[in-house]
Order: sequence, then C-alpha cells, then structure tokens
Amino acid sequence: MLDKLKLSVGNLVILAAGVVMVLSSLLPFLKAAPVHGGPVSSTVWSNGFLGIATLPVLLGAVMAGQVGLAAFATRVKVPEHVLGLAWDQIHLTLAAQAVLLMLSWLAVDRAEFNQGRQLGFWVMLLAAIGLMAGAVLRVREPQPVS
Amino acid sequence: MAIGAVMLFASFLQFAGGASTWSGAWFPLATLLPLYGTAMGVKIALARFAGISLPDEVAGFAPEQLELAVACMAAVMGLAWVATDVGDRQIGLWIEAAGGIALAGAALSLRRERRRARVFG
Repeated sequence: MLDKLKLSVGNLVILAAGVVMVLSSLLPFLKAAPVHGGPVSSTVWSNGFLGIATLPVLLGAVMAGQVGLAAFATRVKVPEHVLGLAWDQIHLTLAAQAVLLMLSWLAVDRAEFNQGRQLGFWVMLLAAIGLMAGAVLRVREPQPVS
Repeated sequence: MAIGAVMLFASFLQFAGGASTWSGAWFPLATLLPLYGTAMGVKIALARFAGISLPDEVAGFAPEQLELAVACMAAVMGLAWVATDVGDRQIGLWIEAAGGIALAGAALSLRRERRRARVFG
C-alpha cells in the first residue's frame, strides 16, 4: 500500500500531521477574556494571533507540501538541496521549530488567556509532535536507490 | 556575535504592552528569538576566543548548516512577530525582529565566504 503511494512511513506521518495541522488551524485556538464583554474564541487566523500563532501551521504546510509534491507530482522538480540543506535537514528544522513554538504557547502565562486553551490548540500541539516524529523517522529510513 | 549580544540586550527592553520578552506575558514565546541569537553568538565566541567548536556533526547537521538553519528560523520568527498584531509594538520587538533577519543574512554571508574559500583554496 505504502509502495503504491510512493510514501515511506516517515513521509506519510509528515503528510498526515501537516494536513491535520492545517485543518486544526480553523478550530478555536484560545479562549480569551477581553476587559469588556464575554470570553471570545480565536483561531490562529484571528487578529492578534495571525503571525506567530500561524507559523507552526505554515511550517507544517511546507513540510506536507514538499512530501506531497515529491510523491504525487512527479513532473514537478523539487530541488534536492535548499541553501545547502537537504530536505531531511529542512524537515527536522521546521518540525523542531513547530514543536518549540507550540510548547511555548503551552507555557505562556497571560491573563487574557485565562479562559483556557481550546481544541484547536491541543490538536495543533499533537500535530507538531507528529511532524517531529515524521521528520525523525524520515532521517532514519534507508534512502531509496536511484 | 555582535547581533547575538544586541538581541540578548534587547530581550530586556520592552517588547509589547510594556513587558519584556522575559515577562510572564511573553515568556517563552518571544524569548525564543533572543535565545537563538544568543546561542549563535556564544557558539561563535567560543570558537573564536576559546578554540571550542561543535563536533563535525550534530543531529545530522554540519556546524555551518546548523548555524544557517537556526538563523533562518530566527528570521522567520522575526517576520512573524512583525506580522502579528500585538497591540503596541515596542523597541524590543523591532530590535529582535531586525536581529533575526540580520542573523540569517550573516549566516548566508558566512556560507558564501566559506564556499569561496573552499573553491579558491
């Protein structure tokens, strides 16, 4: 099955985690309690979050996009190295950054966020861990013989 | 090294909302950026002044690749902070963002120099 899909286990995990990351970005991320009015749920695309909270989603999308292009769009030539970094290294870098950012969101202690972290946040955290697992698996997998 | 020192110093200045990157409101989300800069500065200072350098390979990265990867992530985070509506962006945020972008520029320039040195012996 995986052979048919031309995907290794590591790449499959990256693709799945990347898709989950993008979809979960549309779910409520944090419930904030503004000074006036009731608590408001925000996604990572909401004002005040768009940017630093959206970054893990963009990193996951780049990772899944590269894997998807390499596996399914055989006519598209993806360069083997970018700025001297191989794709295995780029995946590790992006995944580590995504995990660090999500763990930082977990640790941050702001009064406005006292209403709690929402489903989207927890799914994004799990997806970031999934991206990291996929990147590590990808590095450990034997390289295909060309 | 200079960029790392500036980023560490700026991390104690006001970042946004009258708080520094070390205050509960921003730590550790905004502190990652100065930490990346400081780590790169310390690495270069150790190599330059104490002759201590990283092993030839760390997690599959050569030292110069690691520098470039960290610097590029710092630049991406810097741009993300500029794009984020945090209310009043203060001096610390602007210095951190500029520092992140400057780190990437410095790492790319170092890479070019090393490649040139390799080619011309």
